[in-house]
Amino acid sequence: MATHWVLLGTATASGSATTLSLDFSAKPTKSFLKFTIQVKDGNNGSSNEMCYNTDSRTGNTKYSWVDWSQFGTSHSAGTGQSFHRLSGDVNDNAIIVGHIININGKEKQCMTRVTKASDGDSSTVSIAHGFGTWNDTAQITKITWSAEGQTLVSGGKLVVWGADDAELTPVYPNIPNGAIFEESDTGKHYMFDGTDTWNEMT
Amino acid sequence: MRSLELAVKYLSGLRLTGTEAERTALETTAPTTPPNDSWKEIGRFEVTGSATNTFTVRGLSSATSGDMTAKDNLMILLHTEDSNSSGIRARIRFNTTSADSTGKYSDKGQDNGGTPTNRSGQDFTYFGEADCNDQSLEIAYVRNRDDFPKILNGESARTHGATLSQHASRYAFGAKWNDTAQVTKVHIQAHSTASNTFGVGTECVVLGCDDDEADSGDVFWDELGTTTPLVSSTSTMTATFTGKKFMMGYAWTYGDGLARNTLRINGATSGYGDRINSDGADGDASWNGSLGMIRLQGANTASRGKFSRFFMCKFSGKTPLVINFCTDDGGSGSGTEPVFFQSVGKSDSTTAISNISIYNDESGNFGAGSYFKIWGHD
Repeated sequence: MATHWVLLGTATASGSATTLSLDFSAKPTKSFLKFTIQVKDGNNGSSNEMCYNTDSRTGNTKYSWVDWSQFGTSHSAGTGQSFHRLSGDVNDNAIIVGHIININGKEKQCMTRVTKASDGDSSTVSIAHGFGTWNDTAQITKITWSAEGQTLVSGGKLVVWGADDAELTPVYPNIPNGAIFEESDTGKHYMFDGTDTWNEMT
Repeated sequence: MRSLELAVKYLSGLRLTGTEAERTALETTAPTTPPNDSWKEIGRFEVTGSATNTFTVRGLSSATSGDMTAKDNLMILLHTEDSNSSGIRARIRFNTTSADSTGKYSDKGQDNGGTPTNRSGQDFTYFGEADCNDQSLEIAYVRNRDDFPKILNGESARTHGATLSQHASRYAFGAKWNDTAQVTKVHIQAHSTASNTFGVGTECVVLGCDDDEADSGDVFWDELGTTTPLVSSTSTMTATFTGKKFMMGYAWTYGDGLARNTLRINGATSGYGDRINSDGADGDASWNGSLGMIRLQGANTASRGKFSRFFMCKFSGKTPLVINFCTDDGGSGSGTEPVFFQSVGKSDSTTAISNISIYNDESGNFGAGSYFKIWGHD
């Protein structure tokens, strides 16, 4: 069965926290992720960062990243970090569009393109590209956005989509409740509960 | 499952008999249809009948009245064809049906990795830096909330003709429309004079997705083809499918020996050209029109993960165009910096697409776990 991209969730910054997490562990894991972050003006000139499967931007030091600002005229990098950087300093409205490869048992890789724009009709538009690796084999089921420990401005949003092969779900036999199965090789007898379970009869 | 069912004997009185294996095999699995809660088509305009200098996407099926449904996130897919080889480049305006003068647009763009261009206080933004005489592909994301100016970013590819001597170029851009109104119309005008016209076959599709998109209707990016994650090493991963006008692919590979990600169409081993930028170099490498594949990555590496994300288009009578981003993890562990590549490419074949391969043209293979999937829609 052909499948397609699905929305994994949206999280909104309240204006009182330094991190914003979107936990999509309740949904089937996806090997391919896409996300958008809406950064609201007033972010105090901090870089945008991302970490996975944790609410904290400290601890896990499995991240390496490169942040290319202004189409590659300058860049910064970090290795052995507890997050990967998505952008250079942002103190304007901005959007971040990213893509993550999230294959089970393999490292995770992310690429982003960032556009920020100063206020007004005649604004200055800036561009950055970010590339990161999370050297962990666990599949990502939570994404946490932060900005160097700064409080995230109210109204900032993180939206995540995912895609993978179609999920397989159990299909049970169309057998009525109370049907009895006599196993010829074990001598055991089972009674079907009408939905999904054979109960051994003793 | 049917053959196993037949092995089970159904007896009278709600009784069955068979082996333990046959009983447990009565329980099988089936694929589940995922929710329809992501990107959906909200607008489409196709140039038909005669060429035009301008058109407006304002609803489905080339609507000439009304508005698109407002959505929090937009993805604009544009394919242009030049009607008379006079050169076309798309000017974009929002929420108008004619050329107006608002001075509300600012942008920044980079053509073929060269010196970026800044513009501000404009009456429109561009989806390309220069005219093309054949066809182009433009993709733009727009954040479209009413509490936020309209900021977008994207990329485009263009070519001057079908042959490989007629090179392709790429353009990366960011832009802002200084307005909080949600975009419900996309007005597209050919740059320069009225004699520059979009030909029949030019088509723009606007996708929308709310931050809480409901499970209804049909989503746009259907899976077209896929491989399964590799168990043993190989040099080629091929997805077989019926090609579409707009396609989007994600490929992840791990180098078992020297490897890099390249792309082949319909198994052809020649007839490709590309232009590639390695790690933000000031200017792309020159167009190479005599290749056996389109390079998604500029350098080969061993024992590294490589993630490629590309868009491509294939319209009737036209050659495929590919615009790509790729990152290489830089080395094992978390102590190395990733590197990245951007490229544009095409083949010289106008044959409909029936398969695409992620191909390693180096001495090694793609290792276990490597995976390729492609989505698309007409």
